[in-house]
Amino acid sequence: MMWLHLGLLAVCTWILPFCMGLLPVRYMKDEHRSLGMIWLCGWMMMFAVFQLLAVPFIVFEAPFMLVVQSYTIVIGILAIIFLLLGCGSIPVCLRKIREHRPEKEQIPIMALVLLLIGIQLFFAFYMQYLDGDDSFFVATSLTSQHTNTMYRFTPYYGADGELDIRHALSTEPIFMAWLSEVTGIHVTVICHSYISILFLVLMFCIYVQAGNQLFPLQRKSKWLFLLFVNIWYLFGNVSIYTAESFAYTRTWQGKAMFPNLMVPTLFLWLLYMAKDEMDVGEWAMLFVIVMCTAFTTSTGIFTVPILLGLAAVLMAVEKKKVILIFQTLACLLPCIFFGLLYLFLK
Amino acid sequence: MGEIMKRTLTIYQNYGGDSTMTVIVAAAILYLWVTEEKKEIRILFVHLTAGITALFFFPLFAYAAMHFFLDSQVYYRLLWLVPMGMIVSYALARAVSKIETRRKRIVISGVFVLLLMQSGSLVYRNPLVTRAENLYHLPQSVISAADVMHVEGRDVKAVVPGEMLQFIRQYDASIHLAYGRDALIDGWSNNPLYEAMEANPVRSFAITDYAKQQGVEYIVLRAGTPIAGGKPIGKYEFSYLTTVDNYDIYIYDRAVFAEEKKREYASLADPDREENYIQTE
Repeated sequence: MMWLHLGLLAVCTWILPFCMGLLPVRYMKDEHRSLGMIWLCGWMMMFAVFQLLAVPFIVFEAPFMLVVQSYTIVIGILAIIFLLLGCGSIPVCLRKIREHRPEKEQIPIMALVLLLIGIQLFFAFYMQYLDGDDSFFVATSLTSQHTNTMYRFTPYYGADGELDIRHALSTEPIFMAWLSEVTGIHVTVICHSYISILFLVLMFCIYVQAGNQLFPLQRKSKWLFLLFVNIWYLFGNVSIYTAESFAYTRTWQGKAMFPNLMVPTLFLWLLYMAKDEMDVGEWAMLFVIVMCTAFTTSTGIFTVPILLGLAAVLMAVEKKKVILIFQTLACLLPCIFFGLLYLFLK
Repeated sequence: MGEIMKRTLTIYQNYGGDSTMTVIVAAAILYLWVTEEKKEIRILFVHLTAGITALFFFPLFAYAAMHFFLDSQVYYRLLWLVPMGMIVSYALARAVSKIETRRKRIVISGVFVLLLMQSGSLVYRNPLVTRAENLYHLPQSVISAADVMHVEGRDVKAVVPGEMLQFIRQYDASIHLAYGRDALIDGWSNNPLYEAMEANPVRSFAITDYAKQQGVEYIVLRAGTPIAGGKPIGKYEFSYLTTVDNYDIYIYDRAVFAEEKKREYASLADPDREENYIQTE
């Protein structure tokens, strides 16, 4: 029975994102395609679809189980369609792996980076950080499952109340509850003993993609970059406010996902933009990533337009391409929509 | 305006703590500003991050942000828009890549690693990071107490010591609390039952009376907590049920499941247990 639960968890967190990432990556530039990019895009697609689907249910105070059923069906169908339409990307990625075998000189630093990541995953499983905010975020997931409602009962003590609109537009805790419902594993175990590991892997996967962009021709420097990233993160617990502290102590919370998954991903996409490497797939994914920032935290709804807006203006001036501003504005529509919805419902 | 500037400066200083983290980031940006030739890197890692930092300190923006879309307690999150790790790591890797001999590259890389280690703080050395007691990553005592209080098919209401407040509903959402984590944070809640529960000694009448008023069915006390009053807790319709992991659990006699629970735990009761009761009236 335990293997069934673990198998379902593997399907939901490895196979589903992989299938969901195949289609967008098919429409991305060849040089951006990789297995890591497929998995990353797949996660972003899963979060974005969840956000799009769950918010109306939450706002209209529909039962939580309706979200579970709807999302499971929708994501299942989409995964099959995306697999069928996007499977052409797999041979391209496999060919790239064969062509980019590590050189002998790279192996020691690669091994060191992988060892450091391995240690972090081990510690994420064996060590705990008793974070007070979990009494909101993790308890919100569990309360949703228990009461079959969303953001209605206060997670702190379980009293019935009004819809908590401040948090309701960021559906990440409900996503965790969905994962728990589908796999049959307690949501606290999922968050603290599994997502804490998985999202660190996802974070380093994003940094690998960033390294590919920053050092396209110097693979040794890429691994050195990853070594410094690891050290920076490991020793980044200089205050309770840093993104690095959040990465290890609250990995499963939306507000930790925002600076550690969303911001590096946005910078990766900004690098594509700055290098004029935006194809249909990249633009579509930028829209999806912006949607995901709303999924993680309401902070994202207000701060991402600042980041992307400023970047677009700087690039438009530098490249003398005003259209970049309009294209970016179009990608910011999810933030504008959720921001207006928040103001309307507040 | 001066007040806002002071506040943003404090937020910025608190973000980096006592470390030189923000200095290293500034040095990395400066290094890239002076030496970087790739336009895309200059736009993103120099101009954009400088723009965000300038916006962070710009008083009018800070005022608007703190009052309209981010409150002052989370204003520091604007700094998350600067991917500090990415910028510093890129600058260091780039600096190393400019060195010609392999031996020098290794030595300088080692120096940079030591610099980062020296200026930062290892997350696992944080005293709040401890070895996990179970897969839930919750205190085992909380799980044991919740298992005792759980009633199949119905919700129950409990009042627990402060150290349990944050965790118990992460394990079992069918356990409602008289007050939650908000009681621990000044200004979030002022439930008189919290004051009564955290008093030393606790007053038997006060905690049972407030508990009954708030529909509480379980009272959890740290084992050995001094209890003062005219009568012991048991005389106020809350019977001692059991002790788990150094926590005494009392059950409300009129709770519909009380008799069944008492039967379930009767065999586990310690006959030699003595309540730390101090008669005062």
